[in-house]
Amino acid sequence: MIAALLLRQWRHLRWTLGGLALGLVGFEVLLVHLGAAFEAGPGIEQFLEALPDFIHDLVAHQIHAASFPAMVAFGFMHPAMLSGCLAAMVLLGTQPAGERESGVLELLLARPLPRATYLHASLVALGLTALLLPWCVLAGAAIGLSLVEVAGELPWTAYLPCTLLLTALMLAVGGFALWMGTLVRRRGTAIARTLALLLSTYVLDTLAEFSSLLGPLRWLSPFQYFHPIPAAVDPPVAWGEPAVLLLLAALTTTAAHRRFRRMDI
Amino acid sequence: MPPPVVELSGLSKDYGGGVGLHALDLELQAGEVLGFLGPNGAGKTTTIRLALDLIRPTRGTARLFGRPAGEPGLRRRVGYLPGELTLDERLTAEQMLRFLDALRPAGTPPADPRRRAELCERLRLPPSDLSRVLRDDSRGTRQKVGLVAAFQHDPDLLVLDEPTAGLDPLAREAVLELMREAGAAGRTVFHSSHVISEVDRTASRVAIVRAGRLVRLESIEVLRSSLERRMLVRFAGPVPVDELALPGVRLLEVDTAGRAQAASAASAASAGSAGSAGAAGAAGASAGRVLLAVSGELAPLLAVLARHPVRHLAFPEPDLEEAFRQHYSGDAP
Repeated sequence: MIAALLLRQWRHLRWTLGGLALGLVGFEVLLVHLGAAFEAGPGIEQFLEALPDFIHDLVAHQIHAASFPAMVAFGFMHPAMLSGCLAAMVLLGTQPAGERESGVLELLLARPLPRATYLHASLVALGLTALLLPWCVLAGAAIGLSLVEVAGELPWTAYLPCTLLLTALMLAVGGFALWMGTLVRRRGTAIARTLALLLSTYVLDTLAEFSSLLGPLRWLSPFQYFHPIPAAVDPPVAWGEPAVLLLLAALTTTAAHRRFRRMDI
Repeated sequence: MPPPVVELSGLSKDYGGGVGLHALDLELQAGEVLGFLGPNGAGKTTTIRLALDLIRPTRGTARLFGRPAGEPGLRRRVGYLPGELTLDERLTAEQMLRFLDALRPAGTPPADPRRRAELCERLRLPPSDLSRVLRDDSRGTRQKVGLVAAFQHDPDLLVLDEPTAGLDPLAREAVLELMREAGAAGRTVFHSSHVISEVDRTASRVAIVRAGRLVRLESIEVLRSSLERRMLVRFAGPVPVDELALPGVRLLEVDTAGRAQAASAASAASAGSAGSAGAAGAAGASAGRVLLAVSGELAPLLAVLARHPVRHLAFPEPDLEEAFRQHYSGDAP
């Protein structure tokens, strides 16, 4: 039954996900090329210095070391890449809410389909997407690294921790979207609430860099546990960060599961 | 004795504000075709959703085939057509039917493709409709797809909520025929509708719900026999209106030769009332006919008729619509 549900989801989302995956690969290849170009020229440092002060402060904090390896890792947290990956998770996570709202879910659950199985199919779809897209970024990094010439050896495997971190963040967001989808009756509401929370916690995490007032609240943001650049360029990896994100994913999906099992369709 | 196919006990659903379902008890045995009647908002769809465990009861229990309705495995024996059918509109009809059929436990056989083809043919669902994306299909075509999905695996219990909605007359006939066949084959059909004439043609029993309560549950025959029967009498001579003023007899229409006096049911004189006496004076003078509503014993009325030359006597068959109207009139329980 899970296979049938997944096949249907794939049928619906194959172009969206395929396009996004190719876009991520291409974007990361481009980023590696840009990084190599900067590295060959005056370097990323000069690029950073050319930025306005407030953006410089913002980006310089994010880019742990203004170096080519950091530029490659930046692909895993570039706002455009991150938006694409997280939007895919929100769309997938709120699909049960959408099917409940449209009435399709009623028809499906009137078949011998356990509610848990339906939700497990959504979880599998979320999990596969959370694996696929970060690996596409990694593939882009690997392809880019194989095409450019830079001083010193930089293996693509150095970015595996970034990939895992992005997967963990996507799972946390997907779990939250799934939970939201079981709490409200409309998919639009679930999407809006999830996006509002993501945006506010992203802003919180960013502003907390500069504000001592917001610092104590920073732990509330999932982005606080997502630092791909240090993970790639400054080992050892802080495995506690993905662990927190995975715990968040586990908690929200458990809450979604409990709610979905009991709720009226 | 096998357990009832559907067993609803004290089933209640409270949506707040008095809306919902109140302590509904209902049993369906194998081979029964139950007509489930009620106006919009009476609780028909709520009952169905509770029976299929799509919503959870506030009180009471729902069992299918003797097992709690919440067991998903039971639903492979159920074919369901929701009242407000929504299909996955991005799929073609063929893909949708296959997808719904694929949602079955491992090891259970798929629906017979020949049966599916037969259903499509009988419902006039051509291959061109099956290969089109559902988004582009008409409401009637989607309804047909929903019906094929409900029937394709030959379930032991069919739960059909307004199955003929949006269908053309030929397809409607085919659906009624399929339901009758299912009942004859020993399958149970739960036919929820507000199209009374259709229920009249398919059901062996009728349940009437009003404001979330079951107000009547009878076989069609009992229900019809308990109604006020209409009697049309054509006299050779004048209508003996005075003598017809009997307990349990209402004059609905008195028609004398050359002129007619129609009294509506509402204003018709009740037995023995001054109104009927008034009508008597006008109608008793010449030959004519009378339409009566008769409840209870027929003997006193037949005794009166025996004393007068009667040319023609007929009992128009009471239909379910009349029962429905009686139950929804103000003095119904």
